[in-house]
Amino acid sequence: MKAKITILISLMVLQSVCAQEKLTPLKTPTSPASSVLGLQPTAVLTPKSYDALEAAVYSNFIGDNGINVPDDFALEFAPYWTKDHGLTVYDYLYAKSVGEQLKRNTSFSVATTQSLVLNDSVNSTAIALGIRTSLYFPNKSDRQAVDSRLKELRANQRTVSGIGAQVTPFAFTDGSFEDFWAHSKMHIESFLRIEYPNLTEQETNQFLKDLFEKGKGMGYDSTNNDAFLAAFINSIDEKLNGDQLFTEFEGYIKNRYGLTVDIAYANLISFPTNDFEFSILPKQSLWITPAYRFKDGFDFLKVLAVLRYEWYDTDYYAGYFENTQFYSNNLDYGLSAIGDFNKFSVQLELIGRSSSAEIPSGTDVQNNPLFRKVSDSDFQYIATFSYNLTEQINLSYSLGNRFEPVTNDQNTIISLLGLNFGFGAPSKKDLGLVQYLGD
Amino acid sequence: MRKLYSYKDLAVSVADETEVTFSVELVSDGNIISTTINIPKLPPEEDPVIEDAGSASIGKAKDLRGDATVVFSDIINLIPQEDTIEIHYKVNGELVLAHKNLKSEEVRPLVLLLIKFVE
Repeated sequence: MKAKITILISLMVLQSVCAQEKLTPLKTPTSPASSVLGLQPTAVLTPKSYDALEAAVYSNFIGDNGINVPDDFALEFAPYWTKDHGLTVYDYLYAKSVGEQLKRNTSFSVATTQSLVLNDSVNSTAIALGIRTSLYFPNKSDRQAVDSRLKELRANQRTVSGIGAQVTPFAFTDGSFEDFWAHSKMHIESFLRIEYPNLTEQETNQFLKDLFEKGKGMGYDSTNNDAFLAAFINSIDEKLNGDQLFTEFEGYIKNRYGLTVDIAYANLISFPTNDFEFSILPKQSLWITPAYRFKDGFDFLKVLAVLRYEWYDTDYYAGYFENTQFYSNNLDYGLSAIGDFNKFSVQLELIGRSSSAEIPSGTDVQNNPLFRKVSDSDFQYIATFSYNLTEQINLSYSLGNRFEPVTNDQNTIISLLGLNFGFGAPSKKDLGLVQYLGD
Repeated sequence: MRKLYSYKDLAVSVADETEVTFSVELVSDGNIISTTINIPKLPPEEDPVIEDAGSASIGKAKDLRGDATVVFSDIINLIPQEDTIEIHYKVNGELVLAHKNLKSEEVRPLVLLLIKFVE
């Protein structure tokens, strides 16, 4: 165990030593405001109600001396989801119109920092505002995938709720587990035969035998049988793979077959003198990302295209970022293909960039200002290989050639080794909620 | 292990000749539910099943006296935007139980209601 920990720590150190500039992934950012600010916030607040939003804004922006802009702050707010609508899963998956989709999928983001570095030394305040939405166009494959998963889940649920409803009265009747079993067995068998007609006689008998053996050790007590009933029903659900069906459907909903178009816009408001009376809008970004996930023989494959357009205020950058060249317009366009093979995944990205700007070049004889148009183009290609070492640990390696950075145009090779850890969520005890929610 | 939310002391007052309708209403979004109502005097194959939301007639009140009527729901919620599961159970339009739990506590709750129909 110690050796494993040492290796993991060594890899983390190795990554930090070799770390290069962060790569901008080829997709619409989850939080456009954070992205346009170049912020990697430690946490993004996602209030689910207007009260929570008010509390988040008040506690972060109001200080002893009035309004202050917090450092490393990011917030994402989706108004539609602040209220309950009683949507069925079908209503949720298949919105009736594009307008309805826009209502549901639109979210607003805010990000702030006090550490926007100007001229490599001066920290300044900046706020970014963003909006993001998504449109999904389901196809026949998606309908089939949803229907087949839902059908399996429904069969599982009918069995569990049906058996639960039938055996509950016996669980609260005086007697032993054997009495309970004698009354319950035929109901369980009956539901299995109706909902799972493909089970053979032998498989059904084995199911019942295993359940009986397990049930004997569940502490049957007819005077207080909630715990027994929960364990007994869970045992049935487990044997019918209820958790697996749930996980598969949940996973599918996050990554459906068909076409998805993500659209986002964000702008940056800079306060270079840290004075609210003086602000500049130096940068705006627009992302449009269509993504298509294939089915059948190619269901491991997802293809994304991206169009990102950025506007820069060149006067601002010339004034506050000396010795760097910024174009007034940047257009990134590219394609990405992602292949998932169980624990292993590969992503290939190809992005082109076209930049242009008009630069003052003196005046003519009538003293009218003259400009010359400059343009540039660049190309980035990256291959990323990821492997899930365990459910919590992911190892990735990226190799390729990036756009020329503005600060060091010779440094374009990418070779990034990454190790991502996922730790368990805090428990109710950690959060001090036991007194409110129980153990 | 999935958590069982057990509500065993529910009582509803209904006159003998009144037809009783049991309803399930989705309050929070994206729930998938199967609810079976075990009516003591009916054989299991005639017990109503409500998928997601809806109503079922469970007979006249005088036929529901005595043993408790058992309602058992298997609920799941798999949409990422929702953090709460909330379901309302009603008898003849009147709320009998509002079940609510955070998904962080249980994303696949089992809900048990034992309802006595009294005069």
